[in-house]
Amino acid sequence: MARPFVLPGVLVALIAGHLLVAVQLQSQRVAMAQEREELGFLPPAAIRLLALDYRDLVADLIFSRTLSFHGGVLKRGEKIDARTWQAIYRRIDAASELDPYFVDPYYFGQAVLTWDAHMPREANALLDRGRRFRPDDWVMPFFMGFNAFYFLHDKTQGAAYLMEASRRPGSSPLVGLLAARLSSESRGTETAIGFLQELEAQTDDPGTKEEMKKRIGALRGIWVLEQAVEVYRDRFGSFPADLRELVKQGVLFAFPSDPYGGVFYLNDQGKVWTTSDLRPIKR
Amino acid sequence: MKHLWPIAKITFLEGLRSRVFFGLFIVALLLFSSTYTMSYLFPHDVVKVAVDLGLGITSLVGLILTLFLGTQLLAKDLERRTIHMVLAKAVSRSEYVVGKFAGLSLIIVCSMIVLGGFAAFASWTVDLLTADQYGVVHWPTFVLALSMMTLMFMLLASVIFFFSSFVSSTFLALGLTLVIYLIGQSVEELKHFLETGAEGVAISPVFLKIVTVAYYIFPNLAAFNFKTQAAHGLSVSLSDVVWPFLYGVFYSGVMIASAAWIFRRREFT
Repeated sequence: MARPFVLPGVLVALIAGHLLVAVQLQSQRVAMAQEREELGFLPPAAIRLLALDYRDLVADLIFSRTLSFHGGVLKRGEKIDARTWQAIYRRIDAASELDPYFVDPYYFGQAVLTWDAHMPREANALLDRGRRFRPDDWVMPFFMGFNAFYFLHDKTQGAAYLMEASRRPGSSPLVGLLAARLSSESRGTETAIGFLQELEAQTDDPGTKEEMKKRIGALRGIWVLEQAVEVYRDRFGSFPADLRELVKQGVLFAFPSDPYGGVFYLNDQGKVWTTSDLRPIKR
Repeated sequence: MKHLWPIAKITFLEGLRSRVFFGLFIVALLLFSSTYTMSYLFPHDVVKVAVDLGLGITSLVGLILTLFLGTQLLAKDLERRTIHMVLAKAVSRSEYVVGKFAGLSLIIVCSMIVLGGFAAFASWTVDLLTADQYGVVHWPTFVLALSMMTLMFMLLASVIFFFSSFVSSTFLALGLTLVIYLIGQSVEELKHFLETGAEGVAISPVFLKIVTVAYYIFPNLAAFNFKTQAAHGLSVSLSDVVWPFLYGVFYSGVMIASAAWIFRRREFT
């Protein structure tokens, strides 16, 4: 072979080899990322040290990665286990610790940690930072009040947070009303509907609005059934064996439907709930 | 000190001719254009993220610029022996050092104006295209953050000069300054962490002493970080600004004076 062609030949061979390896590497990296689920994570104190001059940017980055991870899981229709929820929580918490004024981690935390992850305590721990660092933001104590009341069943604490929210600038007059209602009596579902209507009014994202409306619809169904069960108990002295009984006995004209596609039922404690667990049912 | 201005001017023009300079500006432009796509990934704090990105990129590019131009400008004269030509004229060595520093500072200020302008433009357009509920740019704190960042780079430049005055290789001066930068950015955080303590971690008092001493020796560069205040428009009191400003002036002053003093006693071969 003539000498002038050796080097170009080697170069072409190397480029071809490189392309082959790059494609292999890419698929291996994708497999690896799916395997470890991005769980390895440094404690916030270490991140603060390593973030140097870019703390806010690192906060944004951690948050956006968590957001897209969560979005990816939702898109694939996978279920998130408790361990992964913990990891998601740690990330949101780290992002908000790096930039405690950053609003997005709080909203995201409120949206997913409560209804989806069943971690209302963690949600409120997160929101408490927002409540302290954003003293003019009434939404933070409002969220906390809702979580205390609805998820943690602590009405006194819930009312206290709501009172705080109602005193902050820009809060809706309904917040004060809710606080008063919460501290006075025990109409749980009705209060929850009031909360959700307020939340829906605060939301401008059409997807979230739709979701809220669905949830309000489901809670309205529960509320109607709860009252019907009370009437039934007054009339017959016992809980109905089946909620359909309410229609059969003429207590209700029509059986409400769950917008999430579930069926309402009476649980062991005599409480009305739905098989959808207030989440869309996959068919 | 009548030779000060000519030296500063030559340094400034020499810096502008550097290829590093324009390469970095192109990189910066590309990075700034990412602001549009990046900030819209966030549901609420869109403008905040745009400001974070703008100031973060400015800080990163400014750092690289300061490190490379700073080490190049002084060390090149020494390595190429052009310093003999300058010192053969009736220019004192302290004049030379201070003049060079003034020239470099001028470059830093000009680059920060340009980079800050890019960052401001990117943030402003994002602000313009989003509704007010997704945040607004808080211009007074934005400008403050840029100014304090500029001062931080000038301080860093003075540290480069300090090392360059007795270290003979460009690479070594660059490495040492980079180490100072890393320590300076995190020493406050480390001190705070050790003082407040982590749960279940025993911290040796000797280590705490070492860190406390380090805190006073190394420049506390985190004190010049006003990016969070800029992104959220937090209120800044006069003393929040005055003390870091004076700190920057004095620290740079000490560094440059030491550099001039060492330089005067140095033997050139």
